[in-house]
Amino acid sequence: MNRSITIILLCAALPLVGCDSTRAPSFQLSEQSEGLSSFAREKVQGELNAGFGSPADLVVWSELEVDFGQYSGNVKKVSTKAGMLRIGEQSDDDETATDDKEPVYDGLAAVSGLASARRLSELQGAAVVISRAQPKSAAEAESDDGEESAAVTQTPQVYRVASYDVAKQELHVVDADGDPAQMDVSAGDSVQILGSALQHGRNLYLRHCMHCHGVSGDGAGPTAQYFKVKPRDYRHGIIKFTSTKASVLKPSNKDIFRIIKLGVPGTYMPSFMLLPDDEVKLITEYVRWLAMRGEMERKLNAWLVTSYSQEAVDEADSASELQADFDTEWSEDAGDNIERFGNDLKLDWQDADKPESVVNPTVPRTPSSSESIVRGRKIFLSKEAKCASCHGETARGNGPSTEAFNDLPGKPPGTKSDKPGLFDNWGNIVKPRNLTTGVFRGGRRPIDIYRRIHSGIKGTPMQAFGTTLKEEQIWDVVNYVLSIPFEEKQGGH
Amino acid sequence: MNKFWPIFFMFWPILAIVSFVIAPSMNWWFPGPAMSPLGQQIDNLFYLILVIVAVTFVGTHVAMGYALWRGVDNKGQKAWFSHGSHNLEILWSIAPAGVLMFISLYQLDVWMEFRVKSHFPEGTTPVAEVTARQFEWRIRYPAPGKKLMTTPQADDLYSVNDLHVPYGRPVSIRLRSMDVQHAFFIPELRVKQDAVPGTVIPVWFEASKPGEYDLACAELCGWGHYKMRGRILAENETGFERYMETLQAEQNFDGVTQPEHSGAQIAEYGIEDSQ
Ligand code: HEC
Ligand code: HEC
Ligand SMILES: [Cu+2]
Repeated sequence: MNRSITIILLCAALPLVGCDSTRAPSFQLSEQSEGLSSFAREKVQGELNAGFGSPADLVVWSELEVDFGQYSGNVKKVSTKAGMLRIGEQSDDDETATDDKEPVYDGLAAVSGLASARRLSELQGAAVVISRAQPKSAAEAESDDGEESAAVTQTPQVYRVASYDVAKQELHVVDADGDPAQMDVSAGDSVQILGSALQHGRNLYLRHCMHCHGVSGDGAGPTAQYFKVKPRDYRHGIIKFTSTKASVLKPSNKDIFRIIKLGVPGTYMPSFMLLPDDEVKLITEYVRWLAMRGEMERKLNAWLVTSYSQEAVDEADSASELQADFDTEWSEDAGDNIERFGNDLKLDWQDADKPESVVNPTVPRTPSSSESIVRGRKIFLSKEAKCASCHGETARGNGPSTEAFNDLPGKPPGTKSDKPGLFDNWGNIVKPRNLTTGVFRGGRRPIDIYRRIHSGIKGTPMQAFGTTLKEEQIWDVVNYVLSIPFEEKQGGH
Repeated sequence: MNKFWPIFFMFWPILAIVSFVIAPSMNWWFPGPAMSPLGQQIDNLFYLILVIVAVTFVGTHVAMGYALWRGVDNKGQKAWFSHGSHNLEILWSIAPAGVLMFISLYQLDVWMEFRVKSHFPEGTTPVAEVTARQFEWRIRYPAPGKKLMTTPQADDLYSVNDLHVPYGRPVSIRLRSMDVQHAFFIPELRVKQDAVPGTVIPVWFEASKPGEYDLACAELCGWGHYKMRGRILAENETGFERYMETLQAEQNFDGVTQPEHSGAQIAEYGIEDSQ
């Protein structure tokens, strides 16, 4: 009797044990960084930690072109309890009410917009930055130099949000050790809460995307191993189906938004059509941020890999000398390089979101007629377009290139693959699309096919034809491509 | 104290009945009232069976409870020994068989109307082909003004996980599966039909009110089964037509010609081109 009760209780307790939710997700270094010497790897890791943090402790690096989510306001009144800020538009008569009956707070801040934050629980962990208000006299004294110099001399205090009590409008703030923050604030100081959008995006990403795309965005989540078409590894900063010109390296925000909403038909990338738009926007920002983190790592690697790989250490006459070289190079160049890398990232991503970066034809689509389709087919088979060399004459995705040794994309020209076939930037074999199925991963609108041909498919061997083909020619090819799935029924060629 | 066991054994059936009675008010009951005429009939059948079962359940338990209760005090009395009763055996074989027969004949109309194509309500219009796939619902509509064909047409319109239908009249879908077995389940409309690879199964339903209804997969189809959530949006005729036209404009968009209807669908996708 007793034994059976024990067994039943044990079974009931099983679910509690089975799910290990305590294991915190963490960002992994890429394979490339694993090839660096230990001293270089340590620096790269340190740099990434400083600029991006970990999933549990995200860092807002405001240099990046990311909407981190921000609320700001001013401290209205100061009292003495540690670790608490009171938030909200404070009217004057409220101030008297705080005196005796209510607990006293360290800072009384009016942070605008906070009360309307969609999910206040998402604020947890967001950074609270308190910057000193400029003393009047100092401002006057330095009026010649402008405000900047005064701002530089003040280091803002940075804390984190531990929790937020909606009813009382109390923001509980902790310091780096997790203790209630001993804030040094005075009335008029400015309060900023940063990173709430990024955190919310992270939570959504971990719930919806992580199992395929991985915590670090490396496309190697736990379910990824089951797919033939691998989930995107964001760390190259490349996305295949974009609306942007071939010369623009990045996708626009809307491209990512659209992909999340519609999915990638014909692959395991699902559609998140029913997620509310604002949640998809938050995920979009987080995906962009993960891509930037990955690119930063790649840039650091590209800089260090030739001289300071593990291989270099193994081959060096003196490992300690190499390390000394590294230390000098790092201390001399790291600051500048990292600033430059960050700036490049900023410019690249900024560029992609400009309206002029989007491919928009100037002539409307030629109505799909049999003449246009025949012209399109001619171009498809022609020497200039050479679509058939990859897609095949019957457009089944079996052109001669699929059996040749081709240049690897994303590598110096002339680097051949060691296996026949076409490869994408991620090193996966990629088959030219079988165009008879009528499934288009990047969307089936005429404009989608137009953009695929105009800018190529980024990260794959399909290059841009926007310069070789005229707009009218591209429309003919679009008409042909869209007609392929229905060819036989129309009598074929 | 000697009444402990009768009370103990009667406690559970009483608890069962009490929880049944309070279930609707605690929201432990159906996923809302049936939102379709056929669903209403299915619910009626359910209630009929529930009543039959409840009467039987209460009757047998009252009898058993009574026997237990009485039995406690029957210490001295000698048990009566039975070799069985032929008449009783016949009675309790025929009575349930009759009840089952009655149920199966009584529900036949509803079953035929739901499952047999020739008994579908008159005027049922095919609105879309729904293809289940690990792990989403891919939807193919005919172009506005056209009929749904069995094979894809050049002017077909596509969507995913979001099926729009007109309300207040019967519509049907062609249900297919691209990979494994799934089940098309709209709880509020009381529609549930397996999608079987290799066959096309027509499914009809009618939403009596406009609104959003959940679409779920009701057949464990793989690790992502839980993700197969979709939406049925029942709209009035003009809303439905406008949606189809918007979808058409959206899908023929060439980046130059302004879509005629820059309605909700395009805005929802956040497409830059529509402005
Ligand atoms: C079931 C696995 C799976 C899930 C879940 C998933 N993805 Fe994907 N995703 C993929 C696959 C596979 C691809 C690659 C498609 C291709 O190469 O054509 C992909 C591609 C992408 C791309 C790149 C598309 C392009 O044009 O290159 C983005 C961006 C993306 N996913 C974002 C997300 C986001 C955000 C989520 C979560 C909301 C998510 N994915 C959830 C499997 C998944
Ligand atoms: C060097 C080989 C190559 C050439 C040349 C090439 N393609 Fe492709 N194409 C590909 C590959 C590879 C893919 C699949 C990319 C992927 O999804 O990863 C592709 C995909 C496509 C797609 C599918 C897009 C989608 O959304 O699914 C279309 C359409 C297409 N190509 C049309 C063309 C046309 C038209 C031409 C000629 C103007 C052309 N291709 C030339 C390799 C090529
Ligand atoms: Cu399913």
